[in-house]
Amino acid sequence: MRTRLLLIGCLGLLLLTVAVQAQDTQSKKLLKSGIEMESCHDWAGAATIWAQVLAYAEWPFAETREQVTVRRLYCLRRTGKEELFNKFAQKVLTEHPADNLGTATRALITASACADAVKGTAQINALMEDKSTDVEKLTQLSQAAIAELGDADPVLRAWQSWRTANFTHPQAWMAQLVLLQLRDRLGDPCGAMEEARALDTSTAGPKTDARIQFQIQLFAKCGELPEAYKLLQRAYPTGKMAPEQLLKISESAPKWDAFVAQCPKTVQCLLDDPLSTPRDDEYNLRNLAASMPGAVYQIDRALTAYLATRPTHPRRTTILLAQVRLLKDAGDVATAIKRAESATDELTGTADELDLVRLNGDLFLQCRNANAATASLAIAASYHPENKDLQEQSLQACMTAEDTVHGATVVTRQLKAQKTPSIETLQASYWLFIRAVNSGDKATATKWSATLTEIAPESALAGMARRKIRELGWG
Amino acid sequence: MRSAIIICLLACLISSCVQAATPTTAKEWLTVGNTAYDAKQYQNAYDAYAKIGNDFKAEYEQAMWRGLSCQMSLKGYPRAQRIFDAYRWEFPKGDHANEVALMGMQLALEQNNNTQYDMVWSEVMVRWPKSETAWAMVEITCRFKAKTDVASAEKFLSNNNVGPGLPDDSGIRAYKLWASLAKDAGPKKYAEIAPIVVVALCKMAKDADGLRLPQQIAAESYPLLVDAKQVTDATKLHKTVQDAYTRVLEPSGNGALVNHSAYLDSLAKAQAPEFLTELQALVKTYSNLYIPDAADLLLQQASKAYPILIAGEKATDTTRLHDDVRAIAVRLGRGSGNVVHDEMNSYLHAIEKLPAEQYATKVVWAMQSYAADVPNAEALKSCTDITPNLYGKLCAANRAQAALAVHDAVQNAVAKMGNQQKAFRADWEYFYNAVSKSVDVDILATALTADLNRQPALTEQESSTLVLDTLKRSYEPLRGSEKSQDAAQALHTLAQKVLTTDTQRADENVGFIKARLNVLEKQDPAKFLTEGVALVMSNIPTDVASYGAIVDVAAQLYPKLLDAGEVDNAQKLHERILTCLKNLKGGNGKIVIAARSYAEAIEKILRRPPASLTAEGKLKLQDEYRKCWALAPDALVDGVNQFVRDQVIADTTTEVWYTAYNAMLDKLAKSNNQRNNSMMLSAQWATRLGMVKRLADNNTGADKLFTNAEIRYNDLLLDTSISVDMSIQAAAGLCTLYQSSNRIKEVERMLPKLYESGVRVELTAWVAQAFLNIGTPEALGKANDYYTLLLKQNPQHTLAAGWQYRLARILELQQKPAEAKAAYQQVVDIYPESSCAYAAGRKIDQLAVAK
Repeated sequence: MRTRLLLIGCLGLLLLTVAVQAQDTQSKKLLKSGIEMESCHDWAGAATIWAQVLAYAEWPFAETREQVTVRRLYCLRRTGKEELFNKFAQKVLTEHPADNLGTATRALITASACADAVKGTAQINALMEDKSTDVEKLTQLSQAAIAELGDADPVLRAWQSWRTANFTHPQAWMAQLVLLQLRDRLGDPCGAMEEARALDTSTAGPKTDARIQFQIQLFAKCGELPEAYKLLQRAYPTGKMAPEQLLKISESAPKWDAFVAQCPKTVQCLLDDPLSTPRDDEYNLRNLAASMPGAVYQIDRALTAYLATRPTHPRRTTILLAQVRLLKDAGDVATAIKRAESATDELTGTADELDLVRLNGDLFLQCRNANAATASLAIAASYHPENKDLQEQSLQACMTAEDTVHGATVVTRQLKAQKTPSIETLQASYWLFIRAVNSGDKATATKWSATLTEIAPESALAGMARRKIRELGWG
Repeated sequence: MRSAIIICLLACLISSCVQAATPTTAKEWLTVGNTAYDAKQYQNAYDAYAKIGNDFKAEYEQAMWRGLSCQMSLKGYPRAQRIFDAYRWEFPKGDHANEVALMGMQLALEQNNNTQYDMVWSEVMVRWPKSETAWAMVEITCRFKAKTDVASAEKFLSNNNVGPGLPDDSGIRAYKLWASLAKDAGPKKYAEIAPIVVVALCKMAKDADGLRLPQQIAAESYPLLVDAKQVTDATKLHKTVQDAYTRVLEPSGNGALVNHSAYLDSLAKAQAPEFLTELQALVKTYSNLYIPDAADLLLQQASKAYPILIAGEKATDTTRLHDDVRAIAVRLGRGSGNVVHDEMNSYLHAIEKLPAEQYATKVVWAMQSYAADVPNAEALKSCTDITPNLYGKLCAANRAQAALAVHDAVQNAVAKMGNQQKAFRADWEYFYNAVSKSVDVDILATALTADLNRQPALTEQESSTLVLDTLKRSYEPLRGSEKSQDAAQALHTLAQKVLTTDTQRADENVGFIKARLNVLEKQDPAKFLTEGVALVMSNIPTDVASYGAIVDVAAQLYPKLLDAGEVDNAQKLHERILTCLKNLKGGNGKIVIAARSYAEAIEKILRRPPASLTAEGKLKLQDEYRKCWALAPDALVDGVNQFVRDQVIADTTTEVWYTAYNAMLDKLAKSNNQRNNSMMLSAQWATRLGMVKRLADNNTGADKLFTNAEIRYNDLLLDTSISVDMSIQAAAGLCTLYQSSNRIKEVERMLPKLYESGVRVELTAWVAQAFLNIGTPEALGKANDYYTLLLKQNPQHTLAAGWQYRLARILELQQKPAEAKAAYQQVVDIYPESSCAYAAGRKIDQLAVAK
């Protein structure tokens, strides 16, 4: 009897081990396919997977439940099923009103709302009504929403329209400060500085040390050192001890004047040298910028002036590129884009054209304007099929901008050029397939599914595509 | 018929001829038969024996006896029976009657002839009682019966194992036979019977010799019992045999050892858990006894136990067993060389599975004990054979300190043995290879210092190869550690001794000293400078190749000397190098290298002059720098570029540089074979120098330089043989020159002239672009004309799309949006494949919006 009991016990233990292992493998597979689907922008598929994952009572995953919840929210928003998204988001908010998950959810709700101008303003209003919030939280939330949208304009627009509609609101200064911080963080310090000027003249809101400091820093960053200095003196007329970096500004003011006076001459001296190479120019300009913090705009102005007097300069086009790069490296994406735009005419049809296109693409992606990036990169990619980096860059831009028209062209070209398709090309093919499925385009979806099966029959992506086709009854 | 007779006759004749060559006498036939019999060619043997007639009694008797044997082997039983009968008739008391009788018995058994069997049995018992023949009958019968029925054979044996006619020891013989029969019947039967036989035989044995047989049977049955999962029976059997040895007062004799060995082997082979307990018990037993032969037994068995113990995670037991066994072995005289070696190898291999720290400690203990009692050169070799693997493993586990301890132990053993260069070298190689991979300088240094102290004989000439090899490889790793100073010093002293005595190696001196300097450079900068300067100044060069090393040393010394403010010494050093190189055949190439390294050192010091550098020193260095420049102008151009630019910004010593550059200009223009290149370079230099000059307080000379550059640029532009790129470069250079000297009008005057003189498309395009960039209404008009003309003449040119685009752009700038749009549209229509088409498309959209 005892032996029998022991045997049954052993058998039970064995079965349990097998079951646990099977569950473990199953859960790993589930997680992997969810991530795979996301990487191909199959939002509906991934959202279903995440729902399944969240249904697990025992948690066998490396990711936390919160991470998966955010993933599901993220995917749901992208499927465009607003009702479903809102329902789930509200549920999450009820359970997590104040923690990180709550903040992430609010950001996604904001992103979703900002796609529509009226809803966006209403959402900002809802955010401002929350008494526990502060400028930093609002800025971070908006940043997350911008990242989610892949486009800064809708969110900025929502803030601006709220501010216009509520300029007498006691918290209006907060909105101004959020806008200012957002512009600064989006690589538009000069735009931010304009907001700072407006804020400086307004009397609303508490003039905290942090706020003044931030304004001063912006002026300094944009090469408006005298203005920064003036604000500093005005804010602390009685000689109250200024924070460390402000002290630095006041100390560097005399040096600054000398630098500004000397700058055009130095630039000329460096660039007139007939023995310099484009690399030397870039190196020298970077060194010059590093020698005086905040001097990038002075150098930028000096460069523009210099180039106006040197129509025949042998390294004119590369200096133009260096100028754009200088601004990009200094974090002012907005001004860099302006300079790139004005250099386009001169560089079109030259050997440096492609460099400018790629630089421009980077800049647009950096300031969350994927559509603009796609437009130039995808076209350039069609003229330069041999440039692999450009193809990859343009494909990334297409996927970010959800531009299937250009995306399909690039992928088709990539497939032709590559003997063995790269994983990026496979993912992009699947992405195109899913986009076609979502828009109900049976012919295109079937075509991409067939392409996937043809180029990589054994791959998981091809398998997923075939399954989807079968599920839809299109096979 | 007749022919048949003839054939028969011929056959007889041939056979008689053949017979003539064959033996004729009975003795000869007997010899032939015996030879064939010995070669087991029984049929041939029988045929030979059959030739012997009964006239020759002695031979006939032998022939019949052997003939019978042949037929028995050939299983020709009827013929054998006839021979048997004939023999007994002819030779009832023959010399081989007993053997024939046994064969008759075998024959009776084979033919189931009971009468003959009984007859023979009775006869043998009467005629040869207690003899081997009598026992042979029992054995033959048993074996015959066992072929078909073992049980009947056993029954027969149990009935016939003692008797008046059988030998006195027939009891023992019967057990032996029984065991043998069981063995033949298969392992299962043997495992069943052997223990019974062993027990019985053990009881009968009166001394150690008597126990040999049961011990052998026991040894054979241990593995069978263990395999049949009857370990307890095997243990009992082993105990029975051991008890028997104790009874005969030989509990630890050779037989007992063999018994232990067989028993433990079988347990170890089956990995039986009893193996370890039995072995440990045995170790305990022998730890108090003096039985020299036991050392090998214990070592061998312990070798097998280590992997099992480690697999069972019994690290402490492993080490304890090793320690105990080694202690017993050392006490008993160490054991046989290969056994000791194998045991150590097995132990070291087993403990590899332990964590690094434990492994390292245990390895050190083990190797220290192992190396301490190495008795001879052979054992020493075994000892050094173990080390490469160990060093590698220890170093890989970051336990270089442990590797050092092992190395110390082994090297102490080497030193103790005396005159063991080979072993020293082998171990050193292994150690060095392992440690140098982890570049543990301190460890290497400590080892080296100790080894050199241990091996005073290394200074002898025959050891120089080893010393120099070691040196070559050790110097570099020895850099950068404080502890390595002594080692480096010792090596250096040694190397100097070797190199003094070994004249053939004198050439290598520079290389070694260089390596030495490398070490000193980090460890003792002052010494580095003294020794380095002394080396360079005292060296007498023989050829360029070997002097290269000295030039390299000097390159290392220049910056250090200048840093230390020893400008004079640096200067002397450089002069010495130059003098030597000038006198050497093919030294000019090296002069450039020397000048460059000296110039670089000067440049470095001039860029960040230390406080200690006097104004006078600075001037001297600048002068030196110019001299270098004169020696190697081409090589210095890159360095000068960068430096001059810094000088322009810092604007410090323009005057000094100006003079130098001017000299350079002439030199370049004259010396360069590519005249145009040097012309271009000289124009560019002149422009740069003019700028330097103009930036300086004293403005004189700038204009002259600019004029100089202008002339050269113009010369180039007039030359139609130069490349398009160069002509554009010259044009751009000249324009920049005008612009930077505020002579804008000159540019406007020059551009149309360039266009008029130029027949080259690219140059025209460049001019058009220049006008477009100038952007004044007149300039735009000119640009428009040029682009229109270019497009008209070269519509298929690779740059044509760009020209069309620019033409449209000009129209846009001239505020003619409709024309501009049309022109942009032309880019799209005519050059759709060009990247300009996309830009033009965007422009068209923009213009449409603006409208």
